[in-house]
Amino acid sequence: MTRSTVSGLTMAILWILTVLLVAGAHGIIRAQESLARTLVMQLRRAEGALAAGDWSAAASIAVDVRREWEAARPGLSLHADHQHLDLVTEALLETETLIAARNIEAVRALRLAAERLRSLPERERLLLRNLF
Amino acid sequence: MLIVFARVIILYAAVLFILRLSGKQQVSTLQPFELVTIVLLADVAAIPMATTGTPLINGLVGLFALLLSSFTLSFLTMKSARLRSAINGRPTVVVANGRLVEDAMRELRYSINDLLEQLRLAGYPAVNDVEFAVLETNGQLSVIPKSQRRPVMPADLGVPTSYEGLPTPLIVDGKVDRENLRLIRLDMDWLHRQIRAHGVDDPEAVLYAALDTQGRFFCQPKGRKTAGRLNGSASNRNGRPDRTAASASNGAAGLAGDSPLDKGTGQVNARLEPAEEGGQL
Repeated sequence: MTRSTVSGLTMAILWILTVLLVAGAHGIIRAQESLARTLVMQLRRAEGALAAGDWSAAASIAVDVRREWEAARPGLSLHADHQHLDLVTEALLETETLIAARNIEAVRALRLAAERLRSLPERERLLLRNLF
Repeated sequence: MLIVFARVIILYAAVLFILRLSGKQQVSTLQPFELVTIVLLADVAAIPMATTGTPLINGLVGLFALLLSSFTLSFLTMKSARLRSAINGRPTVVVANGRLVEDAMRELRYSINDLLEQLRLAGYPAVNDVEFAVLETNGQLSVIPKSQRRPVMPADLGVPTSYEGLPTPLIVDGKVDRENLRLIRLDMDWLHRQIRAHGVDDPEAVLYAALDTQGRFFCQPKGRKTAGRLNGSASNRNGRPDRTAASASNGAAGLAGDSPLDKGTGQVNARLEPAEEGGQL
């Protein structure tokens, strides 16, 4: 194999890897969107339960959401900003604690957690507002 | 702390790999886009190294992006002259026929002091001794002296010279370079005979051994005190001591001809020429 062949081959491999990288990143964003959508939906259900005064149903949902989040987190930390992941964990824990304490502040914590989850895939998207 | 340690190790390996792939130009004469690659490499690698909150993959992806940019630009500049001049710039003549080209120097913001410094470094302190001086795209000054001021060459005197080429390292720090041995179409038996002629039985006991294009074998065993003089010895292809052989320098050479090694006498018969494939230096 001549050196020019190796050079051409390297170039081709680099571009194939780039395509795979872009496809992989796209897949990651889709997976994050799906996770965020599911968890936000559950948090909205918890908010609805709180509005109906059903604290125990809200607490059960909050526990489930946090469990689901903790299961997904190791995979997310491979490519997502660790600080943002900490903020989501913190918000979910706060929600769970406030609901367990039957504190009305739980609604605020629920909305904060939902917003942080929703913004997770947004931060990864190739958008002008993310680039600049 | 362990995380930072592991990150430094991984990113170090990645940067080293990219530098190796980027070629020798990256560490010697740099084109502008090569310099950018070098400057950014350290920065991109440093971010996830120091900030543990940033995923390591971000650093690796950044390094990959740099490698891709560097490769693509060098590939495109090789294919297109227009793009090459747009990205690398064009060489500029700053001295023509012994006179400074004022406009070109002003355009380049290249001071006379800088030019004189470069000319002195090239060995031409007087501008009027220079036929042409060209500022290359990598920032180096190429100096072409006037014909009366350049060193006398054998060709000027009509003196015939023989082919010299480059010596081929065969053993470096006890390790036999089989690829170089293959390139010059010699074998381990021949190498063993040569080192035995220098009083060494095992290639591992040799610090450095090389064969030059005149067929002279240089061998320096390990562990001998130099005491202010070279302790290597040279022999000709037959293994006899060669008083004229100089110490070998790094390089690669191959052999022209079908069978350079005379199996009967162990002599190298073919004329030695640079290897087309290029060996390990």
